[in-house]
This record gives sequence, structure tokens and C-alpha cells, in this order.
Amino acid sequence: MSALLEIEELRVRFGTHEVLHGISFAMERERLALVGGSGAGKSLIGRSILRLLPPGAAMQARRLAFDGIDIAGADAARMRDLRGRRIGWVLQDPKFSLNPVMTIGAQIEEAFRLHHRISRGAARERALASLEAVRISDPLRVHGLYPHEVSGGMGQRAMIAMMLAPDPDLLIADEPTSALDGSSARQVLAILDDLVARRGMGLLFISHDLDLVAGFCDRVLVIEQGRIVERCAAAALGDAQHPYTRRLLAARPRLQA
Amino acid sequence: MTASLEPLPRSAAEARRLRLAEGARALAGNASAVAGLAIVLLLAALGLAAPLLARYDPNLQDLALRLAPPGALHWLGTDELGRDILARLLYGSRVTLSIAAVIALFVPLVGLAAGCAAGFFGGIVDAVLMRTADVFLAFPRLILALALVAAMGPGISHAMLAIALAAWPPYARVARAETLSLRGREFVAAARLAGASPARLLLRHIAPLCLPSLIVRASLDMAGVILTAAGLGFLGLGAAPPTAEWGAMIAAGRRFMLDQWWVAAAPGVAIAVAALGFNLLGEGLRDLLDPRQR
Amino acid sequence: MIEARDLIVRLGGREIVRGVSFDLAAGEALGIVGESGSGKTTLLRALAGLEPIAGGTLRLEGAPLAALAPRQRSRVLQLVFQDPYGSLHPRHTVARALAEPIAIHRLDRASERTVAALAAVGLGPEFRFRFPHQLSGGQRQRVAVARALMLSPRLLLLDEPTAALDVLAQAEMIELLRSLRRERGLAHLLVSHDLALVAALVERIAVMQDGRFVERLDAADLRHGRAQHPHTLELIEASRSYRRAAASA
Repeated sequence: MSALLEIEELRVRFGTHEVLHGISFAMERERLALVGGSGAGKSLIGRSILRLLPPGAAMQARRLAFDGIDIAGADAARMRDLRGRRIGWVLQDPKFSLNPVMTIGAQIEEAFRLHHRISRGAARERALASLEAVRISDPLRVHGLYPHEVSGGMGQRAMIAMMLAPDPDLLIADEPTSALDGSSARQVLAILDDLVARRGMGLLFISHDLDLVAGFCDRVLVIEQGRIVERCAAAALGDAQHPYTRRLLAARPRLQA
Repeated sequence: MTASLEPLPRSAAEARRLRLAEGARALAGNASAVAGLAIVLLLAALGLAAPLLARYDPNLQDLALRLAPPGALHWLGTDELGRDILARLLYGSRVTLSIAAVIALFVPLVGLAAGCAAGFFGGIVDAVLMRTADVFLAFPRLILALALVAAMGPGISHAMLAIALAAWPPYARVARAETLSLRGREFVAAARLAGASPARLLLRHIAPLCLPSLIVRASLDMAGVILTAAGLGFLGLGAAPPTAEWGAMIAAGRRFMLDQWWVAAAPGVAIAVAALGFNLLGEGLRDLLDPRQR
Repeated sequence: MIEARDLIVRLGGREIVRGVSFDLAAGEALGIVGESGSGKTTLLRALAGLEPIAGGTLRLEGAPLAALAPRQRSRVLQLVFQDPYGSLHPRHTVARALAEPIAIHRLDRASERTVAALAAVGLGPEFRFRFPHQLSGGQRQRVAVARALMLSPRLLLLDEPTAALDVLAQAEMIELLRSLRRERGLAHLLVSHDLALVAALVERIAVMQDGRFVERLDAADLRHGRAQHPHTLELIEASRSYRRAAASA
């Protein structure tokens, strides 16, 4: 059986300037973290998998496959089918990723109806259920609210609910907690933890915070300037050798003396 | 997110040069803007060079050759008084383009001033300015221009003023909307914290950011302005005869449209081309200027 | 230097800051921690004069803040905003952004001061001619700090200065703020939801919840988790790295 995600020699260029230099890795249904400073190219990797690169970017790879399906050569219809249905994407700021003129409930229902043949009533039921699943205590009220009326943490949870509606096999989370304060971030992580474990999904967690992913993911890939400089299990991060990794580990201020 | 891939300037002069080069490159890459600009510049050049290009005086009547079809002597034929149509077209473009130029220059500035003031100060300033704008906005542009010219009397400058008065409200609205969203931005707060006065905030921080939308709007508006000016001329409320003016030429040529179609067609095509040129330019500018700002 | 008593600030009709009192002496550093919505940013903005004070008194160097004209206030305190992408004018070069306070107050030697300010935040003089979109997030934030230093204020207000930065840029900013404090003896008022950040930069900390200070403690106490109020303890707990639940069978 093929791996959930296989990437070999992925390169991304902006004009003549290459920003990703031959990225290769594979993942199963596990939690893999991509860590690096801003500008390192980690978001571009996520976008390459979804074939949603920014304008002006060109991608090439020896192999880019999701569950055995070739992505690099897939046509637009194929990608549309994969995106959302089998690969979900949670971004950093729900203010920008949620539609501001639709209520939260309407957006989640839309996600359900796009990928399952169900009636409007059934979609509403499932939307409310998914809001409950992301631990929103008053799903009926939040269902009718607009994105700007809820806090960042709640918006992010709604985003997760929306992305998990079609039951994807892989979730790409790009800095999902970077815009949230401490306790909201913990809540969102707990929800992701729970849902990913229960559904047996793969999780590609992109972050600049090594400390954060250390306790959350199984394996870590450290990326510096468009190259993978370290691959190790999360538990073994303390023994990491590469200087960049050590810098990242040391950079986060710790509370305990 | 990432630092830019452009070359980094090492002096103020270099920074300016790089920006201009970047702007020129972007402009050259936009087919619509290039085409539109070419048309507009060509018309302007033709108008400026009219004395050199016209083979005849536009007001010279040759009644023996009246209503002559296009031919070797008169390339676009003659009108009902035997005047060379091509010459009248060339001189007429001066009238049309000067109206467009004056409107394009002053109306957005007036709209900018009014809109920024209204958006920034709010309260009674906003109310007074916007209600005034509403009054002018309530009338269809041509009707308002008509009424104003009828009150002031015909003539090019009155036509310009009339069109300007009818045209400024949408610019004020756009400028106000932009100002409302900009005044809450942090760089404005930072300037305020540095002790900047409202005038400084408006002039140096807010107004420059409103300009792109106004420029785009102005280019797209020009087609309408040209048509309105032609309409006024058509109704005899623009340039006084015998001055060549495209709208008036169409009016005069109406009677002969069936048999001597060129008398009305020539100025008609000229108006269409001018409007097309400005539209293309406006579309191109919108592609260039709007996305960058966001 | 600052004396605040029972400050009340309203936004959109609602009381966001509900009776806050504190003192800050010259050269001291105070951190205000709390979750989003606790009112800490609003409090900071009210101190900077960006929001009106609805109740209580605020004295700056002995004089009531309200009596201070904006031009005078700008020489006493400055604010570094959270979002480095929004706090610089998109069409102004760095040089222009830094020279603005100088021009407003009609000071001289703008060019020298600009270069000096950039050097103070670890950026070379070539940065003067760049536009914000040509700088990284960390560089923009440094420019924001440089701008705040141009008028040599005695108090620096910082609103989540590292929230929008990645981990490495954060570490650099922390180092920069520490060294600036050492060199210039500026008073700092730092607002953040990041306890570790605050503990690394200040000595005294106030915990804010729902518009009120619920606890005051030393940074040392915070670092060792020696807090009393339940909300503080919650915040300390939340700042610990998330460790996922052990996999069930």
C-alpha cells in the first residue's frame, strides 16, 4: 500500500529564483511537523501539495503523490476533487479564511453538501454536530453568527469543523494556533489532537514553533531556507544536532526557570 | 511574508529609479493600458499638431464643394458649408480632449478633498459634504449639465464647469470610503502618536493612498465625459459655432445621414475611438493599481 | 512617572477597562498579561492617548495626561504596535517613516538621527531606502521600534511586540528590547498574552481579566508558578507546552 503522501525532489521557483530546493519526504497516517522560520518555505510545501501556489510560482517534482494518486500531473478537475474531500487545509487566521458574508453555520453546511449528497435539514444537523465536536458550547447560537462576531479561537474551531466535514484523509494545518492566545491555542490543539486520533487522519502541521510541535507531533522536519536540515522523531528533538534546530529550540522563552 | 526578491536600493535616488522602472515594466506588460494609452496619446498628438496636419482651415467654407464625399481633395469629405471634415475633426479633438483633461485634473482633486475631509472628520463636516454630494448625484449627469449650461449660457468653459459639477460626487464617495477604512489603520495611529496634525495625516498619509482608486475611476469616467460633452455640443450648448466640435458636427450632419453619411459618421467614429481609448486605459490602470494596494 | 487611579475606558458603549490602578517609576518595566479580550490593549491605547479615558485619573510625570498636548505627549511616550505589517505606511520608505517625527517637531539632523536609530535596532543604513514590503516581519518590527525611539521618549509602550513574529525573530526582538533598556534606561510598559515573553523582559507583572487587575506579582514568582489568583494559575498552566493525550488502546 502506498504511503499517504510521497514527495520527491519538490522544487518551487518564483521566476528564476528557486525557493524550495529539492524537498523529499513521505508520510503515513501520522502527525508530521514542518518547522522553520518565516520565509523558509514551509507554507509553500503545503500549497504545493494542494497545487494552490501563489501567482508567479512554478513547481516541479520528481514525484508528488497522495495515496498513490499523482498530484504533480493531475488536472484541475482531479485537484478540485481531492481538495477539501480528501485533503483539508486549516490556515492561520480565520478572519481571512472564513467567508465574511456567510454565517458560520451556512459555511459548514455548504461544506457538507458539497461533499455528501444530503438534504438541507440533514446538513444543518451535521453542522450543529460538528460544532459540538469542536467543543463549542452553544452550537445553535454560533451557527447563526458571522465570522467577525466570534473570537479568534472560536473562528479557528469553526474552520476545523468546516474542513473536517468531508472526512478528509489528510489535514494540512498551517500555523493554526499562531494567531491565538495561550488558552485558545491549547483548546484548538486539544481538538485537533482528539479528532485526528479518532478519525485516523494524517496531519501535516506547519509551524515556526518547535516547542509547540514537540509535544504534539510524532515526527519533525526542520526546514531552513528551502531545504530540510533535520529529520527526527519529536521525542528525540532534545538530541538534535543541526545548529538551526538548536537555535529554534533555544529561541522560545520558557517560563520555568 | 518573505523579504522581497527585487533588487534592494542603496540610496534614495536609486529607490526612486527602481520604483519607476518597476512601474514602467508593469505598465508595458498590460495590453489594455498600453492600447488605451496609445490611443489617447495619438488623439492628443493629432489635436496638438492640428495646425500642421490639417490641409485646410477648419472654418474655410467652399460652398461649391459642399457635401463632397471623401476623395483625393478632401480625405474625409466636406460638410454642408463646404468645410473640410478632417480639419474640423483635428481641431475638434482639441476641444474634446481639453474638456476631458480639465475634468480629469480637477474633479478627482475636488472629490478627494471633499471625500477625505468627510471621512476623516465625520460628524457635521461629513453630513454637510455628503448631503451636498447627494444633491448633485440625484440628477442624471447630462440633465444636470444641460440645466447648468442653460442657466449660464453656452460655451466651452461653461460646459466644462457644468460637467465638473455633475461629475465630482462619485469621487468624493470613493475617497470617503477609502478614508474611513484607512483612518483606523495603525500607521495613521503611529503618525498621530508622533504628534502629526490632522492636516498632515490627511495630506501625507491618507490622501496618497486614495489616489489609485480615483485615477482608475477618472480614466473610466472620461468616456462618459466625452459623450456628455458631445451631447452638449449636439444640443448646441457647447462650443459656439463656427468652432469645430465633434458633438456639434454630428448634430449638423444629422440631416444628411442617409445620403451624405460621412458628415455625421466621421465625428461619430472619432468619439467612439476616444471613448474606447479611455476605457481601455482605465481598465488597464485598474488591473495595475488596485490589487497592489490591498 | 505614571500614576493611574481607577481608570475606566469605554469602547462602543461597553466598559472595557474597569477601574485599573498602578504606578510606574522612571526606568521601571511593568508587564500586563491577560487573554484576548481582557482589555490590556485598550488600556495601553488609552495610555497612549488613542482612546479617550472615561473615568479615573492618569498622571504623566505629575501632570494630568489630559492637560498634555499631543505634541508634548509624543516626546514623553511612544507605542510599538503589534502588527509590523500595519504600523508602517505602505508607500513611505523607512527613511521617510523615521524622519516623520523629526519633521513634525522641527528637529534638526534628521539624516543622522535616522541612521543612529536604525543602528540602535541593529539595522544598517542601507535599510533607509526600502519599502515595508521589502522587509521581513522582524525587520519591520525593528523599524517600528526605531521610529518609537526617534523622539527619545522616556516611556516605551509595547503592544504584543512579538506576536506576529516567528520564533527566531521573537528571540531577536527580546534581545533588542533588553539591550535597549540596559542602554537607555527607558521605562517599559509591555502588554502580552505570552507569559514567558513578559517574564523575560520585566520585573513586575499585573494580570488582567475582564478589565481589572486580578493579581500583581514579580516576574520571579511567575516563573516559578508562585501565583495566588485562579486566573493567573490558569494562564500559567496554558503557557506550558501542550502535551498530547496518551494514545488510547
